[in-house]
Amino acid sequence: MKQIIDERFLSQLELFSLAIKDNIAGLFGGSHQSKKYGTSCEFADYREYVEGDDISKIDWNIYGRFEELYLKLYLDEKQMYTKIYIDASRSMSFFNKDQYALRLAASLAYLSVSEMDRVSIYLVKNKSVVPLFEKIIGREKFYENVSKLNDIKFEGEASISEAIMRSDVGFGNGKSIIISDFLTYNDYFSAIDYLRDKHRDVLCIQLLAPEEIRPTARGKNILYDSEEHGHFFRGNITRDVLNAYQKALDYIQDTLLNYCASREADYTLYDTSISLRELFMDRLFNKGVIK
Amino acid sequence: MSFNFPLGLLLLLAIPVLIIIYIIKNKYKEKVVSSSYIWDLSKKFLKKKHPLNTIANLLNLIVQCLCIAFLSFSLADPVLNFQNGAENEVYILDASASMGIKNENGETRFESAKNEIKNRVNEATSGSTFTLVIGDSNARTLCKNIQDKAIFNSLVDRVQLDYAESGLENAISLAQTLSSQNEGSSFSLFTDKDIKTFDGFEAINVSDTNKNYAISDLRVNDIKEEDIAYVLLEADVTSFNEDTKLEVEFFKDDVSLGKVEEEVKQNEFKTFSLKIQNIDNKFEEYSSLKATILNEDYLKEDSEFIVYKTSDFDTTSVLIVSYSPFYFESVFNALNNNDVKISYDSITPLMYSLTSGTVGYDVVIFDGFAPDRLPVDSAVWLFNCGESVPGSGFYFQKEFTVEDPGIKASYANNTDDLLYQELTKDLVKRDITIKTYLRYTLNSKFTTILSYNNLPFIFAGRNDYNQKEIVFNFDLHNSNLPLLADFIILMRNCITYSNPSILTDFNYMASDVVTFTFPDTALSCEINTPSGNTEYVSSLDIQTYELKEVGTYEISVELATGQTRKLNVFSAFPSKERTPLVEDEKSYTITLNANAPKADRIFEALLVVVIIALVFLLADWMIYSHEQF
Repeated sequence: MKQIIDERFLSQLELFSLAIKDNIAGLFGGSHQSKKYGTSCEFADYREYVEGDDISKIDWNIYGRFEELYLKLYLDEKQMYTKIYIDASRSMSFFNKDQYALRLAASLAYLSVSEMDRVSIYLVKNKSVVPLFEKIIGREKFYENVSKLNDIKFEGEASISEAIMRSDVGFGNGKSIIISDFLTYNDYFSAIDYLRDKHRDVLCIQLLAPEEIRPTARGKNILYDSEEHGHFFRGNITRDVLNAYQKALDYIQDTLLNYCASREADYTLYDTSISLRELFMDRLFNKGVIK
Repeated sequence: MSFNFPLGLLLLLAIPVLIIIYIIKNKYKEKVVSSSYIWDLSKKFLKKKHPLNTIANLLNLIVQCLCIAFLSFSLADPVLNFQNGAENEVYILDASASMGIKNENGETRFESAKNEIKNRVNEATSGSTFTLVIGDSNARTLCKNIQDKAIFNSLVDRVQLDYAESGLENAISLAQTLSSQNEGSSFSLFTDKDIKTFDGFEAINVSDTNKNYAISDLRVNDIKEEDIAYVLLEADVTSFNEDTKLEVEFFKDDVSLGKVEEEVKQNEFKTFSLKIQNIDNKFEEYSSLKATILNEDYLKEDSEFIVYKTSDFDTTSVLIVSYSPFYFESVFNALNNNDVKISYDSITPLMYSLTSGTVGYDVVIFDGFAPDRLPVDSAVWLFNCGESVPGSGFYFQKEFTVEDPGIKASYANNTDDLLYQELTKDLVKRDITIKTYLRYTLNSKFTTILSYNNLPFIFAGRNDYNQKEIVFNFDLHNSNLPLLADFIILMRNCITYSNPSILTDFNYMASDVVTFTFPDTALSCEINTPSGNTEYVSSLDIQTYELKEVGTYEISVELATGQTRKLNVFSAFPSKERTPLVEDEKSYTITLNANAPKADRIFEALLVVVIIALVFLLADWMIYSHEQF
């Protein structure tokens, strides 16, 4: 597993935690703010005392000034449930994108378990979501399960929307992270909508190799799609075609970015030519995905 | 247009091959990519192409075809011909002696003229042809209609200056012939002559005014003043460009006799005289006299004049084989008293028979005796041989004795024969009375000197051993010849013929032809020229030699007797060439043929075609780069 995990990098990651936009709903206490009042140190509000309330929570300073009994309310902190979806289609096996995806997923999972959050990693294969490991808490469990990443085979297609929407994505209790190249004829916007509908925090990470960002192919080519049989591109790849390619890629990225923005989801591009450290320290940190 | 290597056009076959390759080659590379989604989507962003742009797709092919076509042309080395675009140049080069005068830049006029010709050739339009006419003593067309500039220039380089008088007139005539034969369209003359009247050609004067002095003659005169003998040396000296004071030094056998300084007017000869006392006539024993101008001169060759003494040997050695040599001894003694030096030995035929052979004599006389073999290294005289002598060229037949007063043999009428002329020179040619004579049958190589009834009595020529041979078919004692005055003269002529002076004249002018007369004993002849070259007369049958240089020629003739005859010959600078004459009296004209065809201008298009091919190659690469990158 050493290929995937850079322990030194993981130890650096411990300084960060995954940020979440919405307050968390859940049963277990954790380190993330909840919608409910609880026992954290963070002041939330006052309310009038009613019979049966814990009198130790009465704010006696206010009573001294106004001779009214008020309770001092604090926010509750809950445990977050992070679900990481890895696009395990064949396209992800090109240009070592699978290795980058696995390292990224492992790093994000570690970030979560470091916060004592629960983490599940799912593989999106065809129209279903296959759990690799679920609801692990703590580093010990992480290290027990992370080796399973090595067993993943990237093959076939992946219908992100259909797969995620069929699965149990939970409700309002954490963050859903989709790692994919998003270079598919299939729909993935519905998955974002669905996850947001379930009050999940959504982070889409588009993972692209340099060859996909700046292709080196020239001349007359027939480019067959690795997943979709029957789909191919036939033409003379000239400078004009490459310019058009660049515009098409920009279009895909802009569409995804704008869609995510409109759904209060996060989007980031992971160009595999940059290091994982750079991705985390610069891009994700700057976007506020981690803090 | 023509091609130097038409086979290069075979490369054009590559064009259809290229087109076929374009047609049949698999144009599309098949490849599996992670996703064809972006590529598909990119079609929406592709600008719509103008219909004309479909031609652009073929631009690569078109450019490549053009590139191959021009590469093919460049291999074929194309030559473009422009009709009548170039001249048929005829250059007339004066190669006479005066062209050897140095100009102020240090090069001779001849070199200046050659350089000027080469410059003109190099600057001439490509396709021009060049003809070179040499105007020396032997005016000739050296080369005709040469198109290759390098070859023509190398021919110009090889032309040598001729130390002879100019043959400009003949050269102009040759040029006129070329013009008449439509072989020249432009004529140029390079000379140092200041030609005032010329028409139909361009005359380029390659001379500049320089100091030039000359000695034209050197004489020796004996004079007597108050009973004292003197020798007066006189040299004729002139200055061609200025009135000036000149200094002349006289030498005897390279030892200075003295200097004389005189004022000389331009183009007027002045005699410089040096008087020397001739004590006991010792002065006569010189071998050479020389006069030299000491002033600085741009043509050294005519500033010196040498006179050599006209003698190359002293004595003719003769062996007389006879029982009664009286007449021979008498006549040789008489000749000795008349400056024909002869040393003779007399032996009897018996003595001769006992010797193994004779060596070292110039002439051997057999009188009344037929030797078994002839001497190998001498001229032979045979008198009254009563037997055939092997190799002598004649056969004995019979002896005749006639009654008194005998027959009268007369001199033959071979006046056209040089040998006859030589042997009968100065003779009165009185008939000779003979009482007893021998009849010989002889071969045709002999010249009959004296005959009776077509029977040769005295004949001469070369025998089977190529020796000079003179035969008398009668005994001197049985004739009145020894009593005649002709006898001494005839013997002198026979001696002169048998052992001639190699040269009779020792002062010549450059381009003169020297005629040698080699003795039979001559084995080889070596000639050292003034420039230091050594030439050998390969065959002594060749008896003429042209003096091409100015100065002293040293001639050594090795004889079979072991002696070497050495003589010097002075070749003077041609008098007419001592100064660039103003040829204003003559009119030189070349009538140009109005219809004379000009040469086709040739344009070597190789470089241009290669550049175009490279441009297309570059264009192909740029189009490819533009499309791909």
